This record gives sequence, C-alpha cells and structure tokens, in this order.
Amino acid sequence: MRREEKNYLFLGKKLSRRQAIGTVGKIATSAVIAGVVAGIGGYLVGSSAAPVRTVEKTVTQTKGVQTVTTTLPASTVTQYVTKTTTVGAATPARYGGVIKVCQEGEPTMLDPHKSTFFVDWWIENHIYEGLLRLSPYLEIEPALAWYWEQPDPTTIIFYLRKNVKFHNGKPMTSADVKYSFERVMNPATGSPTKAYLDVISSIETPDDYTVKLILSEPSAPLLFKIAECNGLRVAIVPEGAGDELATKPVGTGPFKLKEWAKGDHITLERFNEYWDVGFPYADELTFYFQSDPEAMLTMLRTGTVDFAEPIYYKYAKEVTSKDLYSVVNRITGFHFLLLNTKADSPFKDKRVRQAVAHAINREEIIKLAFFGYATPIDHPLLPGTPWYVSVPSLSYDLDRARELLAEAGYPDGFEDEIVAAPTPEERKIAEVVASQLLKIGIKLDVKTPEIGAYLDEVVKKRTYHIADCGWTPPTEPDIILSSFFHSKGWINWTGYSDPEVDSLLEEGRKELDPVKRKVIYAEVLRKALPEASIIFIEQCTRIQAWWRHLRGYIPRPDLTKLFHNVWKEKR
Amino acid sequence: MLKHIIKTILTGFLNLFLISILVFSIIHLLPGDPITIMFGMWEQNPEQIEFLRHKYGFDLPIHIQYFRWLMNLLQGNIGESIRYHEPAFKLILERMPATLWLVFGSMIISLSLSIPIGVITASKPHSKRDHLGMIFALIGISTPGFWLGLMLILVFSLYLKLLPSYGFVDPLQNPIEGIRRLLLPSLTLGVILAGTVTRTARSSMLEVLRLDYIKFARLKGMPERVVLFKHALRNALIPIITIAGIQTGYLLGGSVIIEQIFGWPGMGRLILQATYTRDYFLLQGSILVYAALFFVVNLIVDLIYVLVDPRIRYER
Repeated sequence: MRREEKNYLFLGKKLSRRQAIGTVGKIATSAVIAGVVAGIGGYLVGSSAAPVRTVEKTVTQTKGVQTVTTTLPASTVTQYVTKTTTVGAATPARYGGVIKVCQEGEPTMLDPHKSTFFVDWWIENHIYEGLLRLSPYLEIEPALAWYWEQPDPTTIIFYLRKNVKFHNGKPMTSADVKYSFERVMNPATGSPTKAYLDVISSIETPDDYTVKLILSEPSAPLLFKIAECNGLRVAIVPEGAGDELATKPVGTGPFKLKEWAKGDHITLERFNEYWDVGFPYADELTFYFQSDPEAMLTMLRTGTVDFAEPIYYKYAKEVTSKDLYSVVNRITGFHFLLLNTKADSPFKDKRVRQAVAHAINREEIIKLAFFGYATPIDHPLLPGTPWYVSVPSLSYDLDRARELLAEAGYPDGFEDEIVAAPTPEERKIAEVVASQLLKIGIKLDVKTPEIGAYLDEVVKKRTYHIADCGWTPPTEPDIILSSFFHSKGWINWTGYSDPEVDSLLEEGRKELDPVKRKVIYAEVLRKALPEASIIFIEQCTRIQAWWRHLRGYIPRPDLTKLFHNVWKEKR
Repeated sequence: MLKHIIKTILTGFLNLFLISILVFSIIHLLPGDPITIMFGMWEQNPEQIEFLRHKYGFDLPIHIQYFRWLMNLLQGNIGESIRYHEPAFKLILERMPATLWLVFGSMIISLSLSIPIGVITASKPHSKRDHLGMIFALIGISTPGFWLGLMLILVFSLYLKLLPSYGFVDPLQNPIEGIRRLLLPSLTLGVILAGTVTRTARSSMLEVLRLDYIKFARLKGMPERVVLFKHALRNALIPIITIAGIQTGYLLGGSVIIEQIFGWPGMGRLILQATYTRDYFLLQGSILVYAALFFVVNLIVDLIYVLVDPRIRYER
C-alpha cells in the first residue's frame, strides 16, 4: 500500500492526501452527508513552508451564514499554508442544552500552570485561554491578544482585547498577563512549561492593554509554545490567583466550573460574559470519566454521554450506526523505540542498533498493535505537516540486519530485556518488536512495569537497554527534535550526543525564517537518524464517536477536544 | 465486656502504629518517586525538581521523614496530597459515602441471597436443590467481576434501558435515583460475594444439623422450617458472620474494577491512583484509614458474636 493512500481514514474509508485536500467541495459534501461538521483530522496539508498571510473562515452562526475573516499580521512567524475551509453544517446552530463528554480519566487538578496530563488539559481548555491559540489546523490564531508584532527578533508585543472578563467578573489587563507569565516562570510553581519560557528576560506592561516580552535571544518556537493548546502553556489567570486554581479555577474561557463531583463528573456552565460574543452554544458541558473501553462504549450507546474518545480500535467499524458517527482522527502522536547508547549492553554498539532498525517491520506492528489504524513513519517530523522532509532511513531488511549483527560480533544474536511503557498499545508494540527481533537472533524478554517503575528505570536512572515509548508533541520542530537529539534534550534518555547536531539545533531555534529552519532540521535528521538511538515506528490515530445530534464538532490533530462551538440538535 | 472493648481498641492503636511503619517503608521502597511522576513525559528542570523535593521533605533521611509524618499524624493531619493539592483526609472523606453505600448494598444482596440458599441446600444434601444452590455458589466464586458487571450493563442498561450504568448519587439526597444507580454495582458485587458466603452457610449448617439437639427438636415434632431457621441457623451463624465481616472489611478498601466499570467514586480508585502517582501522603493516609475501618468492623463483628451466641462472653 502506498504511503500517500493511507493519509486519511474517514469512516473506515481511505482518502488519499490529494483527495483530502483536493477540493473544499468534497470535504463539505462528506460533511453534509454525515450531517456533521468534520475537519476530517485534516491539518497542515502540503509540504511547502510559505508563511501565512490570511486565514479565512466561514462560520455558520445562529441565523444565516456569517463570514469571519481573520487577518494575521505580516510580521508573525507562522508556517502554515493558506487555506479556506468551510466550518459549518447545513443546520443553523442552536443554543442551550447539556453536552456530555466521556474521557478516559479524571483530572488531578484544574491549575493550568501545573497540570501535566491530557485529562486535565481537555477540561482546562474550556476554562482558560492563552494570548494566542492554535486553530484546528494548528495555525497560530489570536485569542486574548487580538494582534501581535515582532519589531525586532528579541521583542514581541501583544495587544490585548479590551472586552475580556474573568469568571470572577474582573476585566483582564496586562497586569494579569504579566502575573501569569511570571507564575509559570517561578520555579516554586512547579510548572512543566517553565523551561519553554526561559528565553524571556523581562515582561513590560506599557499600558493596561499592551504586553511586551523582551527575549534574551531570538526564539522561533516561542509563539507556538504560547499558542499551544496542550497544556495551555501560559493560560491567563487573574493577578494574585494562587494555588486555589487547582480546585477553584478562574479563567477567561467560554465555560466556568459549576461542580466537580470527585470521582464522578465535572460540570462546566456557560460563561455569559465571554468575549467572543455568540459562543459558547451549550448551557452546560459535563465530563464523565471512564477508562474501561467497553464500559465507555456502553455509556455512549446508552446515551449517558453524547461524545466519547477514545473508542478502542477493535470497535472502530461497529460503532458507526444510524445515530452514531465516528471518525478515525490522525493525531500528531507517535511511538518509538529507545536504544540506550550509554548502558552496558550490546545496544551500545551502533551496528547493533542499526540492525534493530533494519529488523523492524512497521506495517506488521501497525496491523497487530493498532488494528491497521496508524501510518508508518521514519522520523518525528510527520508527513502532512509543513516540516516533513524525506530523508534516507534504515528500511526493513533482515539480511542487512544479520550482516550488521555479525559485524558487531553477535552472529548468533543475544538475550536482553525490552521495557514496555504502561499502555496496552505500547505493551503490544514491545511484544511484536520482540517477536520481530527473534528473526535475527535477538531474544528479548518483555518487561511490563507500571508507570512509576517505568519512569524510574527509563527517565530517571536510565538503566534500561531497550524500551518503547509514545509522545504527542506539538508540531514545532524545535520542541520535537531538540527533545530527542540535543545532548541536553529532555527526552534524550538514550545518551545520544553530537556537538554538530547540538549547534544545528541551537541555530534552528534562533532562525526566524521557516525555509531556512526546514533546511537545518533536515540536516539534523540526516545526521541523527543513522545512529539509530531512537527508532520511530508509527503515527497513531484516536477514534472519536458522537451522537449525530451533536453538531459543529471539529476533530483536531493535537489531541485537544473543544466544545465551545458545538451545539446539540433537538432529538 | 467493656474491658474487652478497651483492650481491643488499645491493641488496635498498636496495630495502626505498626501498620504505619510498614506502609511507610513499603511505599518508599517502590521504584519511582512522586516528583518524577508528576512531570511524567514533560520537561523536568533540575532547579524545580530540587525545589519540590525540598518542599515535600523528600530530601531528608527516610527516618526523619517518617517521624515528621508521624508527628503530623498524631496532630490529626495526615498530610496534603501531592497530586491533588488538597488535604488527603478531605479526599478520603469525599469517597466515603459512595464506598459505604456500595458496601451496604452489596452486603444486603449477598446475605439475602446466600443465607437462604445455604440453609436450603444444607437441609437436603446431595439433592437437586443442593446441586442448584452449589452451582450458584460456584458461579459466584468463579465469575470475574468485570465480566458480570459488563453483562449486567448490557442487559439492564443497553437492551432493557431500565437502569443507569454510570455514576453515584447519594440515596439520602435523591432516594429513587440513588437506589437506581446503586442497584447494578451492588448486584455485581453481591452475587460474587454470595458465592463464598453460600458455601460457608451450607457447611456450617450441615455441621449444626448433625448435632443432637436438632435431632431432638425434630423428634419433638417441630416443623422443619422452625428447626432450620430458628434452632439451626442461629448456631450456624458464627462462621457466616466472620466471613461477612472479612468481606465487609475488604469492600471498604474499595473494589477497583467494579468502581472503574460503573464510574463509582469509591476508595479503590483513589488508592489505585495514589499508588500510580506515588502520592505518598494520600496513599499512606488512605491505607491507614482503611486499616482503621477494618479494625472497627472487626470490633463490630466481635460484638455481634455476643448478640448471636450468648455463650460467647469476653470476660473471665
């Protein structure tokens, strides 16, 4: 099967990239047929890296069709392709109602600056907002800042909206923005975002509605980090809001917290003074938590919830019915093997690692661990994003693998242990990899520790020899590649280190021209991939399902689920 | 009697103290620490890690950490959850109503099924009804809880649309909805627990029915029903109470799988979550609370013995 043909899976039907991006008409037609708005997990299509100037969107409002045109300032560093997409269904939006959503776990807290879990963020995304946000196609959009500019590479000026209020009724000003940034940057907060903002040397507030960030050096990924929805890097909270946010969140988002029944559900209610007039449609948004896939599917089918994710791959086909709609959403997440270059094991030898890379059959892993719902990848700059480049990779070749093993002094292979990360998919990947490596004589025992022991062995002590792992990063090449390949990268748990790669990555971070950045990152991949310290396996999908009376929902590739523009039809 | 209760309570405290040492050391022996897990797959800044380790006192020697915790404990403060940023005791209390209702519901279902079945099967060993009763017990013992739970959801929620499959509503606040939601999880747990209790009831009854006073009662011409339920059952109850007490104790710790399937906000999931995230204070706290509850249940069982069997007295 050709790679391009596997790009989009839509209702179990495959759409090639050409079909998917081809005409808006086709997408619109399929959306109308389905009766639901669907972005079809389509995002960042095209491989050219032209900067965006205009993004036009048609949004169906209550009565008739209203066109919202957003013009991004020319000075912004956005990398995505200009595109016009119809976001709207045949029926007008309806106000009111309760939207019930089922997700796989309960948040631990609702403090956006401290959360480290997707289950927290999915709810926080409705309560808080940042200065910028990412569109469903991962373009940077204005949010609480209506405009921003970069007069020189180390200064970013944000102009804030004037009609924004917090849930406590207080208007939002630049002092709140300054407080929020400083709270994230304070080590006492314990925010996972802190490292991303270290480049900011000072924050100035010339007036109530202007915020100026002074950087210590130019930073290409900073705007993306500020806009990112996953983890809401820098959610704006009222000045002085402290640790109370964990249970009493106050933000500017479309919904505010109504009730948190611990262990059962979280209910958010409509914030009537939301700045984006007209949104949200629903009166209430309730989140239920269910980690058992069978039980979650039953909750959806019995109508206990309107929306559920993830539906287990096994049920992908049978979930769609007259009343239920489902989409196989390709996300920016992927899995990879970590081969420790520092621990005392055969994997220390580059040739052994390369042999492993040649012995991995990605198609088979996808078939067995993901029921076919994934796309093979060679590196983490995913196909379909503007950063995708084609670089030579170590392809499936058992003969070459055996040759390399023999060269390294292991003609009959060896025995070792593979540490599987604690999700069902990752455990299955480890099993399939173990069976594949058996063919070249490497006998791996699959070890399946729970999360704490896994993190201890792989992240903290780094005593593992070979392990698997998964990550859903933002599609910012610096965040991805620096994490993996910089000697100080925080996912660099393999001990890989190359001074040339380090300096290339540092150069890429300061380079503001996307075309030049792309060349740099291609070079990084060309140098780092043959080392086979990390072997990338597949880009995965998540299956979302919802009742057809839920309208306006747009699947996003960054794992975020937003419901402020979703409404419920009368049943 | 009073002396016995006081003695039990004192030993209870000694036990709790020993348990606290055990729990503390086992938890700290587990690989992984809460700060690493807190950051999980996210960038960890050494400066931040140090700060947080110091904040929670993880940089101190382990025995100092224990004494610190013990001192707080004696002042009634079991510590703040590292994960939820709330007092651990508050989190545990929040889970109590759901846990207690589930224990109550499943024990009622379990006992009201198992005692009659146990008595009836014992009254005529190796008969058809004995076999039927034992098949029921076998099913109860060997059926996995998650399977039974899912089957009940499929039948009662999906096909018949009679009962909700998810969530907890306090029956004291909303009796009808509360009991509707309590039914399926209690039935699942009740049937499973009933298996063991039925077998215990049967064997205990068989033993009692062999005794002379039963023969004498029958010779006197007493109706079989009175012989079984009035004369025999009362004496056969002691082992049943013991087993039911132990089961109640276990249930108080929560039933993780049942809670998971029915979205039940009980203790089990809280303890599981705390274990995964190495939330030391929450985990230590909930295990101690659980141990204390277990101990209270045992005390109550001791007292019920006296009520049921006047021959049992605790003083010499």
